[in-house]
Amino acid sequence: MDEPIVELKNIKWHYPNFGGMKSNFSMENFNLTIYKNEFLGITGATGSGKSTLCQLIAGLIPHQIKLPYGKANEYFDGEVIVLGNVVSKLDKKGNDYIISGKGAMAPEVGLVMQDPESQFLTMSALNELSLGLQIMGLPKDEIVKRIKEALEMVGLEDLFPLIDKLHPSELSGGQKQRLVIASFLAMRPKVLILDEPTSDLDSAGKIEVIEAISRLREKGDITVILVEHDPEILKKFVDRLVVLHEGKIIAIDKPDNIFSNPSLSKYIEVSEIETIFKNDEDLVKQIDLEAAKVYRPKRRFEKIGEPALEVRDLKYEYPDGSRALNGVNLTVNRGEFIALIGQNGSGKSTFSKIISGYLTKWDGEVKIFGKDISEKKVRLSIPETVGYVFQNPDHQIFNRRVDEEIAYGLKNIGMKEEEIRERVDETLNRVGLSNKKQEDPLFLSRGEKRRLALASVIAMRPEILIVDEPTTGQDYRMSREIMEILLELNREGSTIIVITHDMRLVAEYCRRVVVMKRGKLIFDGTPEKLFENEELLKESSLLPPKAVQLSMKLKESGIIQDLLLSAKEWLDFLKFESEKKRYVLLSFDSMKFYGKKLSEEILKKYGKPDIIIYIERGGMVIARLISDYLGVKDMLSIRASYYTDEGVPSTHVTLGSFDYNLDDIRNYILLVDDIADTGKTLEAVLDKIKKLTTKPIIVCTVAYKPHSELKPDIFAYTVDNDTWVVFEYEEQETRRAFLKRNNEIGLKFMEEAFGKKENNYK
Amino acid sequence: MSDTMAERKNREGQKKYLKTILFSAKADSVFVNLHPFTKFALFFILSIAVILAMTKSHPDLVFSLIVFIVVLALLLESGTLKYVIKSYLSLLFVAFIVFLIWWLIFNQIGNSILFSMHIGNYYFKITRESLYVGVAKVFGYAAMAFLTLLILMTTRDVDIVDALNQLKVPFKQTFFISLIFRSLNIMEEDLESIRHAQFARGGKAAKKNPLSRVKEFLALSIPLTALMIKRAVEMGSALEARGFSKSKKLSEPVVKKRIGSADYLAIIFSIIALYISITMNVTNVLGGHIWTSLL
Repeated sequence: MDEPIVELKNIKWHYPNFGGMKSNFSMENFNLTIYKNEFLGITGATGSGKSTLCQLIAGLIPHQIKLPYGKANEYFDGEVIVLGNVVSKLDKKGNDYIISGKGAMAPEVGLVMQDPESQFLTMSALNELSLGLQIMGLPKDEIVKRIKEALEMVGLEDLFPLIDKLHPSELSGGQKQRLVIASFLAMRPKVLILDEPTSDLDSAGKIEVIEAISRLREKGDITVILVEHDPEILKKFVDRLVVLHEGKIIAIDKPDNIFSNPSLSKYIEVSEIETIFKNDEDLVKQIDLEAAKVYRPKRRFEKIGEPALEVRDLKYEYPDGSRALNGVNLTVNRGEFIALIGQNGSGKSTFSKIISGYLTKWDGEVKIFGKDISEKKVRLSIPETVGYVFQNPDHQIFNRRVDEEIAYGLKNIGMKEEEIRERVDETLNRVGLSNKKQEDPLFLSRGEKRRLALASVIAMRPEILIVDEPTTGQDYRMSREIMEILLELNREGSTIIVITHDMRLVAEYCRRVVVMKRGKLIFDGTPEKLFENEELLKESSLLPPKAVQLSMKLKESGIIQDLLLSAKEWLDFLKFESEKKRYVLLSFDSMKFYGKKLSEEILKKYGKPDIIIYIERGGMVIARLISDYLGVKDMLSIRASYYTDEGVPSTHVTLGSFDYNLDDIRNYILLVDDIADTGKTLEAVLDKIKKLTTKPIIVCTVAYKPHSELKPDIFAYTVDNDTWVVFEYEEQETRRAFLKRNNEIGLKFMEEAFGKKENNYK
Repeated sequence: MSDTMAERKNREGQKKYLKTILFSAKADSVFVNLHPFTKFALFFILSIAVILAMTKSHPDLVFSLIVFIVVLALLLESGTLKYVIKSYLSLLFVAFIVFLIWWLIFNQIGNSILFSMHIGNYYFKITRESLYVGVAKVFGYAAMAFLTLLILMTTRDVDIVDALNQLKVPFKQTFFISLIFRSLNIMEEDLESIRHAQFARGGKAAKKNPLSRVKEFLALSIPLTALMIKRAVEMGSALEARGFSKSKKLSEPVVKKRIGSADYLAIIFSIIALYISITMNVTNVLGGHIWTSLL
């Protein structure tokens, strides 16, 4: 792994001006070494130089860029070495500076880019896979062998018998991208560059490509450079991660360290959850399980109005006879924020084309604010009510000036000039593009174009706004910007329908999710219900976001009642927990959880005990649970109390009678109590048992306070010394104790945990 | 073709339909599997035969009708007739009826009057002869139109590229043609989104004069051009990444379409048709007056 494969030495790069527009991007004195068989990740915001870096390594930059002759030094400097070959180098020829080097290093270096459409160059899957191999001049048999091998590596071996018959239109985005990857793998490259290979794909496509990358990872004899925004993908695959910002390396480290480093949050998406929990085990340890039991996340409340969109039995058939919609029924009310999800071919696009008035000749009923859109007049006026923001902003830029672009739709709906001017200024202000008013939209950055596309639609003040993939291909910050604008519009009363594959967006922003499959609605409900429906998630190839996955584990264990959907909800939850530190509730459900956990640990460390002795009353519940899990039938109890009848600590421990014969013990005795608080009770009981037998005694409790004089051999979790553990089965006693001592905070806690009750415990 | 359709048709590894230049066709159809050279020869020879049949002093209606029926049968056999019917192409039938009407209005030949009327000073008549010639021409043109459709609907762009390779056209030229097909395919999808975007911005909301409509149409070119430039750059990079500029001598393609017995039979059939068209009038052979009187 120490052999350098790629070396970038003191690289300088500026893009030449295009159409009079100067690019602000620059790379100066850039150095990077990538080692043999390394899996290197590159991340950073849009425009940080990720693709530029990939193209420099691939030899496309500067060789494929037209630079003024003899002045290459103004744009490029340094040296790019790949596999020991100089790919690009600045040279001097007479008085002229020129670029020398091998340029593109095919087949040794492969480059897979974002958009599978533009990279799929031929009209059949076979031609696509064989193109590079034919260029290499390989014989037919070798080509077929390599194609088979490459298809297996990307998990598309099933396609082999069909590849000469498959047209690009018949492949999904994920399949196309995997075929492109396979076409490079067939060339057996030593370095494979994957420039955001999943960003334009739906969730199923993403999973397909990720699995293909996973196979590459297992194969091991290839150096892979992966550009990606998604922390989950990067953490799963890469050895080292490079963070880029404005053409500079901000950090290089292991991905876990990068994503838990808060100082990098202004450059990349640093997971707030990751900064708190390093792994799932820590997660359970850090959570105060008793506070978790009573926590309910606070969620955004939508002001829902009258039906905005009513769809009844909607059917649509394409001219080729394929049925895109097969009886869709849906009502969307004013003020809702809905996610419309589903894989390619599920019917989402057709559905949105119909409700935006674009498609005609469908069957069924569609009403927008009560008006039937099958009437031509109503349909043509839909753009005034329903706005549509496209995934690719390049599809919806019709003018050569930013302000004219926004005015375009307003003119079309017949607005007066003066009003248009006001509306344009107001909208530009809203999306932060006022300073770009007179610029050519085609030369805006990707994020700015995206905002302009949104602005040009919201300027028309549609009551329903359909937004297609607002976060696809965007970095974290850009996605947030767009989503916050949508949220603001929703608060102002707009109905928002987002078509998305981004489950994090769904979890964080939408209060209703509609899932489509094969032209039908297969789910309509809250994100929580969706994420809890494992079968549906699998069927729809949907992956819940990390925040949800973590909270799902806690919910399954009975630790929390509601799923936590976002990092923000997690932080709120943890804040709530820290406020509850003085009193924690231990419920029956969590006792079950701990009972299992403790039993597993006991078996692992000591094996099965011969007998369980528990301390009444506290140890009874947990001892019974443990005996069930361990299958120990012999149980004895001993009464012991450190507290007076008034519920205050006493000066000595009162023990009940205990004079059993313990001679038959072969292995050990398990002594069980609920909590090692001061440790005095446990010590007293332990002394008493030791007088009866010399056999080993293992002490086990659910909770342990560090100030306890006796530390149990096994315990489930630690509580702070000043924290009162309230057991659900001791509700009455605890309430009575708090009442007697006029403990207001304790009583408030009891109210929150168990509800307000009449003061009848005195 | 929609994704659902493709998925349905290709499910379980069974490729029943092939994507062609226009729509899709049955993968196991005889005509689909003909060599592109054969299809081109068929198109060329049969078109000449039909033109000859139509332009005879007494047009050969039966010949045109037979070719028309054979073409329809081939459309049916290749699974493409349904697309003709379900898509706007079915308007061709209407177009041919309109064509017939126009023919009857402006070609008032013969004396066997079937129908006549005065419209002002104009005397309009439909004769048995003009109706016969009109119908024969309509079937002739329809046979050629549907033959063209048949070829477009049963030929894959990749087959054309393959045929060019077999004609020893240099790789870079054939690849350029292949890229044009691919670009058109991408452009078709982009254009669909752009038209939708224009509609969503009220492109069809207001009643507009013809000049505004032209401007509206021209506005489509801005996003389309920008996208095509962007895609061309990306395609260039993708090509370069495969080593295209370094290609010297390419190896043989993995799959080559060969000329088989079905191809020979098809060519023989078309030559016989041409011979018949040159040497005889099938309508007359089958008793021309019967056909005329049928009309």
